[in-house]
Amino acid sequence: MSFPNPVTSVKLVLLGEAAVGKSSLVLRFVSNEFQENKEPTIGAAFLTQKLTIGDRAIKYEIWDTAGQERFASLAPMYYRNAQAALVVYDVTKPASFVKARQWVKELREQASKDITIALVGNKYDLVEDDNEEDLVRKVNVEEGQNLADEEGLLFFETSAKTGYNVKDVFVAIGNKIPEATASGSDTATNQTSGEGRIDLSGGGNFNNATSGCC
Amino acid sequence: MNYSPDKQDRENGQRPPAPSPLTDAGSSPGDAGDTSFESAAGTGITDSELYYEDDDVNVDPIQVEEITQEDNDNSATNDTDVDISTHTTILNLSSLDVPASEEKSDVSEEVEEHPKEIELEEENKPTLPDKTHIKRWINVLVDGEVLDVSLEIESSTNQQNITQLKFINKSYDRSSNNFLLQSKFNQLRQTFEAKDTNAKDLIEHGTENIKRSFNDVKNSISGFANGPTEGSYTEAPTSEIDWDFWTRTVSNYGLVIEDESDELSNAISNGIPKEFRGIIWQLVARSKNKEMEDFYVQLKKEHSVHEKSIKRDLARTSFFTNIEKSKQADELFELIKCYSIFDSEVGYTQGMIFIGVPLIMNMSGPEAFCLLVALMKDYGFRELFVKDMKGLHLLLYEFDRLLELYSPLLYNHLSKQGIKSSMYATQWFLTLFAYKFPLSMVLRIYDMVITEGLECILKFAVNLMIKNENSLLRLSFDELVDFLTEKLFNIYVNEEYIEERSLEVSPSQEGRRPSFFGGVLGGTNSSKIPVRRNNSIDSISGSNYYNLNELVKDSNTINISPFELKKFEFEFEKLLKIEKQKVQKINQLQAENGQLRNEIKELEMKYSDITKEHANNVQNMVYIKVNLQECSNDIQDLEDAIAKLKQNISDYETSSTDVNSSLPSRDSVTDDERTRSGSVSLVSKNARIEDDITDLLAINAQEMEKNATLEERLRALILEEKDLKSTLNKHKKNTWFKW
Repeated sequence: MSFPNPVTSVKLVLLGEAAVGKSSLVLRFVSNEFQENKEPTIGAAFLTQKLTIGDRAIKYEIWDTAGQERFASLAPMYYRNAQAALVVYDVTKPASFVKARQWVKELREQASKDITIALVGNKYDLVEDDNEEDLVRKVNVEEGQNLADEEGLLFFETSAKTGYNVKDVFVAIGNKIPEATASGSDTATNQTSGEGRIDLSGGGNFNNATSGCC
Repeated sequence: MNYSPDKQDRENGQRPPAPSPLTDAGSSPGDAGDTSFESAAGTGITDSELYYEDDDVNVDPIQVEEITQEDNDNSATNDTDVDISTHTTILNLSSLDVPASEEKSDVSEEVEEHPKEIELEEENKPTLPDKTHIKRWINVLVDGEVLDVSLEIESSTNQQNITQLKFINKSYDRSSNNFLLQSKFNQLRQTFEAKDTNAKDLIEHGTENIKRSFNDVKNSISGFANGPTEGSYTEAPTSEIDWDFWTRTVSNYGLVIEDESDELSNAISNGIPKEFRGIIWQLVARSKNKEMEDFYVQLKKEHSVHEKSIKRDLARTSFFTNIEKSKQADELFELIKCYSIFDSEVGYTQGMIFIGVPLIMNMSGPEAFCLLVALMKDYGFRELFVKDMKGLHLLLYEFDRLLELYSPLLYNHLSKQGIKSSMYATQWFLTLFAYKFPLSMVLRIYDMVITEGLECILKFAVNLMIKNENSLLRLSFDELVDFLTEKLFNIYVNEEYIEERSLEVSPSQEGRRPSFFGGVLGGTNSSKIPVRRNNSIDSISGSNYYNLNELVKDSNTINISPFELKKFEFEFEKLLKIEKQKVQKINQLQAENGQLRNEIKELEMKYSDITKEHANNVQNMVYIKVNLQECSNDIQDLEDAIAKLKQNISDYETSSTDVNSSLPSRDSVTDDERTRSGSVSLVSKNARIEDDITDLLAINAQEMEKNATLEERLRALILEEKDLKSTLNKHKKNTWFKW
C-alpha cells in the first residue's frame, strides 16, 4: 500500500447516544458492511481506514465510543486529541438529537479549539419512504441544519444500512482537515502524560474561559 | 449501608421484604466487616510481625514491607505494624518506576533514605535487602520520633486503611500458591459474619438447600455414571469428576480451603464440572437466600425504566443470542430488569448482560438474581457499573501497576505508543472477557472470579499480556489496539485450528495476520470481525477451540497478593483524591477568574463614567471661565456707568448751589418760583438719580456676589479636577491590565 503523497492522519472520534448507529457508520466506512444487530460497544473500539481524496491520501484513525450515558466518563480521553468528531443522532429519535446537542457543546468546551465537527443524522433509510400522515422521522432536516449552522458544523443525513452519504461525511471531514496537520501517525505525541494517571476528569465543566479584555 | 432484607422484613410483616439497594458507594470487598474485624483485633486474635519474602520475587517483587501473621498472643503492636505498611505504600509509588529486576534493592534504598538513624545496627543480617530497616522504623514511629507529615494529615483515613490492610494481611497464607482464593473466602466469611442473625439464618438455610441439590445431582449422575457428557461447554467429562473431593468441598468449603487449598485451586482451574457449577458458585458466594428469591419473584411483576434499553441490547448481544434458548432469554431479561429496579443507582449498564449470561445458564432465575446481587455487592461488581465506574478505573489502575511489575518492557512500550489500558481492558473487565470471547472461556473465568474475587480477572489480563509480550513489543499504535482487542487470545487457540502456527509466533506483518483467523471464522478480515461473533465456535467445537486449561493454569501462576492490591487501591484512592482536588481547584480558579473578569468590567464601566464626567467638568470650567470674563467686563461697564453717574450728581449739586447762591441777588418771585420749580425738578431728578444709583449699586452687589460664587465654584471645580486627575492616575496605576 503506497501512496504518492505523504499520508495525512486524521484522529477522529464518534460520539452520540446509544444505538444511533455509530459503530455501524464506522463499519460501513471501514469495510462497507452492515450488520443488522450490531453489538453494543463496551468501552471503545479503534479502527482505521485509508482514503484518497484527489491527490491526498488520508488515514482515518477512528475511535468509536460507547454511547450509553454511563460510559461518558471515558469519552474525554478519546476526543481530547481528536482533530475531527462525528456527532451522531438517530433521525427517528428526538432524544438522540438532544444528546447530540450536548455532545457538540461539550466538544466546543473541552476538545481542541480547531476540531472539525460533523453532525450526522443517521438511519436515513427509515425515513426515506415517509409519507405525510405517518412520519417516522422525528428530527427534521432543518433542525439538524440549523444546529449545524449555529455551531459551524458539517451536516449530513446518512444511512449506514444503505451506505447513503456515509463516505461523503468522511470525505468532507478530510477536505476540512488542512494538509499541514499531516501529523503522520505519531500517536505518541498525545501521550507522555499517562504515567499512573487516572482519567476521571470526565464531564467536569471547564467553561470556555478565554480571558477577554479590551 | 448493607442491604438487609431482614430489617425490612420486620417492618413489613408478612409481605416479601424489599431489600434496600446497595448504596455504600465506596464498598470494596471486605469493607462491610470493618467493625466486626475491629472487635476481633481487640480480642487479640493475631499479631503481625514483619518479615521479608526473599524467595518470592517474581511473584511479589515489592513485598519488602510485607507483614505476616506469626503468633496470636499479643495485640498491642497491631496498629503500628500496619501503620508502616501504609506508609511504605507511599514509597512504593516511586519504586514502581524501577524495572522489576532492580526492584528489591531499590525499595530497600527507598526505605533507608528516610530514617537515617535506623541504618546503624543492620550489618549482621546476611540476606539482602534487610527487613530490619523497616522493623526498626516501626519502633521509631511508635516512639513518635519520626513523624511523617503526610502520614499525619491522612491519619484519619489511614486508620481505616490500616484496619482493612490488617484484615487483608491475615486473610491468606503466604506459603500457599493462591492468595486470592483464601483471601476471598475470608473476606466473604467476614462479610457473612457481619450480617445479623436473621440474614445469617436465611443464608445458612439457602446453603443447606444448595447442598441438598448437590446431593441430588450427585445421586442422579452417579446413576448414569460414566455416561457421555452432553452439552457444548463442558470441560470436565462426568467420568472424571472427583466426587469425593467435590463432596468434601460442598460439605465444608472452609475446611477444604484451609487443608487442601492447592487441590482446590487446581480443581477449580480445571473447571468446575458443569453438572454442579452453579451449585458451587452459590455455595462459595453464599448467595442463596429465600427472601431475596421471593423478592425477585415480586420484582418480576414490576416495570423498569430500563426495559427498552435492555431489550434492545439483548437483541444485539450475540454472546447471549447464541444461547438460543428462548426461555433462558426471558429469564435473562427478567434478571437484568429486576436488578435495574432493585438497584436504581446502577440501573442498567451495558455489560451487565454479559455478566448475567453465565448465571442464567447455571441456575434458576431466582438463584441467579441472588448470586448477581452477591456479586454486585460482595464482589464489588457494582462499582464497575455505577456512575463514574470507579471500580473499573481501579481495576485498570491495578492492572497498570501489575503490568508495570511483571513486564516493565511491555508497559513502557505501550506507554510510548500512547496505548492506555482503558482502551482495550475496559471491555475485559466490564464483561469478564465475555465481550470478545466464547462462553466456554467465560465460564472458566467465572469459576475463578467467584472463588477468588473480581481481582482475579487481573491474573487473566496480566497473563495474556505477558504471553503476548513478544508480539506486542513489535507493534505500533494501530496494530496494538487491534491486537489487544482482537488477537490476544489467539495464543490459546488449539493447534489443530491453526493453519499456520508460525504466524502466531511472529504476527508482525499486518497483511498476514488476518488470515490467521480466516480459516476458522469464514475468511473475513479478522481485524473487523470480533472473534466471538462467531460464537458458533462454542456449539460446533465446544471448548476445544481454545486450550482453556492452559489458559487458566498460566493465569494461575500469577499469584497476586491481595495485600498489594489493597495498597494499590489506597494509592488509587489517593490519586483519585488528588485528581478530584485538581478538578475542584480548576473549577475554583475558573470561578475566581470569572469574578475577576466581572470586576474588570465593572471597573471599566466606572472608569468610562469618570472620564465622561471629567470631560463634562472641563467643558463646564471653560464655559465658566468665559462667563467670568464677561461678568467682569459687565462689572467694569457698570462701575464706569456708576462713576459717570456720580460725576453727573456732583455736577448737578454744584450747579444747584450755584443757582441757590445766585437767587438772592435776583430778587424776584418768578425767579424764586422758577428756582423753586427748578429746585423741585432738580430734587425729583436727584431722587431719580439716587434711585438709579441704589439700583445700580444693588445690581453691582448682585454681580459681585455672583462673581464671588462663580469664583468659589471655579475653585471647587479646580479642586475637583485635581481630585479626578489623581483618581485617574490611581486607577491607571492600579489596573493591571493594559488599556
